[in-house]
Amino acid sequence: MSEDVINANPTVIDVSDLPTRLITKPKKNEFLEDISSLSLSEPELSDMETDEDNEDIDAQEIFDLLATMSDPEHPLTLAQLAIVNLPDIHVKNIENGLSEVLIKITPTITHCSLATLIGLGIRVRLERCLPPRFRIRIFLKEGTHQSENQVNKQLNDKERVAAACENEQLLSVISQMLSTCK
Amino acid sequence: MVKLIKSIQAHKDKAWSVSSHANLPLLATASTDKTSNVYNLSKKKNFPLITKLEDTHKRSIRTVAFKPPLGGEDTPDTEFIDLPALATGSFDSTVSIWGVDEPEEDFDEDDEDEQGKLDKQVQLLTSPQNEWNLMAIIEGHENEIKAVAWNYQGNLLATCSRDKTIWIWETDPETLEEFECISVLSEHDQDIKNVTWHPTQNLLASSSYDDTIRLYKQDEADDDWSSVGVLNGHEGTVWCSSFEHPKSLSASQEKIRIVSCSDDSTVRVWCCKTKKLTEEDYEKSKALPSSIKHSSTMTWEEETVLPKIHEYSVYSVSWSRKTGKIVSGGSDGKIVVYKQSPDSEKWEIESVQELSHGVTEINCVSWCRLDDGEEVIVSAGDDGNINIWEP
Repeated sequence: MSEDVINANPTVIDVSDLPTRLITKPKKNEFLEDISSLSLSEPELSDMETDEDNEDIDAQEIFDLLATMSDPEHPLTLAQLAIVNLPDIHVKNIENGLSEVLIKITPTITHCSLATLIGLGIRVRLERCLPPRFRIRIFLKEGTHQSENQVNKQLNDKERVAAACENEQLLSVISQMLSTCK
Repeated sequence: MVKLIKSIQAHKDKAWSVSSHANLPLLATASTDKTSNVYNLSKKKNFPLITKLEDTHKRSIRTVAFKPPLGGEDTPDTEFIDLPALATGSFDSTVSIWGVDEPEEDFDEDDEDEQGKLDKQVQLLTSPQNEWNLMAIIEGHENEIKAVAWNYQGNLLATCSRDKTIWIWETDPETLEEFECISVLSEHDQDIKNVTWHPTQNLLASSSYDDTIRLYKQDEADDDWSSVGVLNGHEGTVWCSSFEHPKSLSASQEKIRIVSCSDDSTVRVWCCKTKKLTEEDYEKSKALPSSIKHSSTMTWEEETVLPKIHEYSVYSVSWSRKTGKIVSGGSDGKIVVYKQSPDSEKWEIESVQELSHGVTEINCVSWCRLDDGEEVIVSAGDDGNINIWEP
């Protein structure tokens, strides 16, 4: 990261004030994940998805998957910076067996040039953790960014995301963001 | 209802695109796993793999297209043996051209009847014994290639990219040795998702992230390619478009039609009225200097929005040259077949197949012909599978 921080003084939420269902565990040492494991197409089934493929996944679980991701420029998590917020996550089941998760992210400042990167990181995290029946839709919260539509369109363009995920440089940044995930 | 007749586990990663040969039972695929497979479209033989094209592209292969036969699909040139060839386009920004060597066996050796000779030719050209060679690599685009398409005669190849340009390459369809860029079209404001040619004339359509479709023609006077129409109406990225074949059941001589599909989850039909030249018009036009004879713009309008049924982005659409039916597929995993009522001209949904690739997305649907002449729908999905459906 460059020394010119885009938002030098963000508001930080105390971790103990974040919504949770997880029992607090002592923090494990997390290793940087192997880039090759970032492949989008073979989503790893996360712990909660075992035999019961259709076990409901709710907003809190999605929040937990994202809350501990790191911000690309601060040594803080997306939840601490209130970029990802529980009330802005919506999960629904669609009649034919598909599910949808809709997330609205709140960039820390309206001209945040890292909004696309954060959104992409969230998409990679969810595509790796959620079963393939999920359709993931990521938007910037209305009025939180000056190029909202542009960023939204990019984040939800399957082909652009697929191409971006073949960019080694970008992948290593995302992998840094994911290295703090629990 | 469409009926699944074969599911091929073709790739280890996303299957993006399929293309079938116009008059040989061959199907080619494109995948994130950087390979492209060629299959024999034969139910009797259980759709065997003929070859795997690999070790060439450094990133995902996004698109594949078979070259039309020499002389065009409808008037094939029988003087030469038309060897199958195809183009693949990759996120690595290059296009590669592949083809088979002429089989060693002599075609004219035996004195069978015409049909016998033809059958033997098909058998030889679709044999897994054939060597598929990399014939050319085309470089020029700045970044990811999204689509490649051959014109009906196979002498022009259009390629489009995230760099917002379309390049038209000219080649000798018999040797495919050199590809010369004859035009760079940069009318779109954003990346171009797809290019497609009209099946019987040199009219090109492009679909874009800027929510529009554009049409291009070559000016008769100076040979330059230019935009002759823009279709506004979609409220999201246009992913794909497909022309109606003038010989299909639904086609009318008085209009050219194209179908498109979009992120806005709709499928739309657009039309351009073409005035048929009467004898008198023709005489008049002959008298005019060539610069004004060719009217450069076409007037296109949205004819209809097909019945809305898709939940999310519709990634692919294909118009059958045989029946005039349209098929669409996309993120919601549905394969939808639409048909136009001959009386009311209204489009209705003929069938909907849910979860065509399990819970994964469909990237491509295409009408293809099997070796026995039967028309099928071939779909490619994020599960890496190629599914073949009886309509």
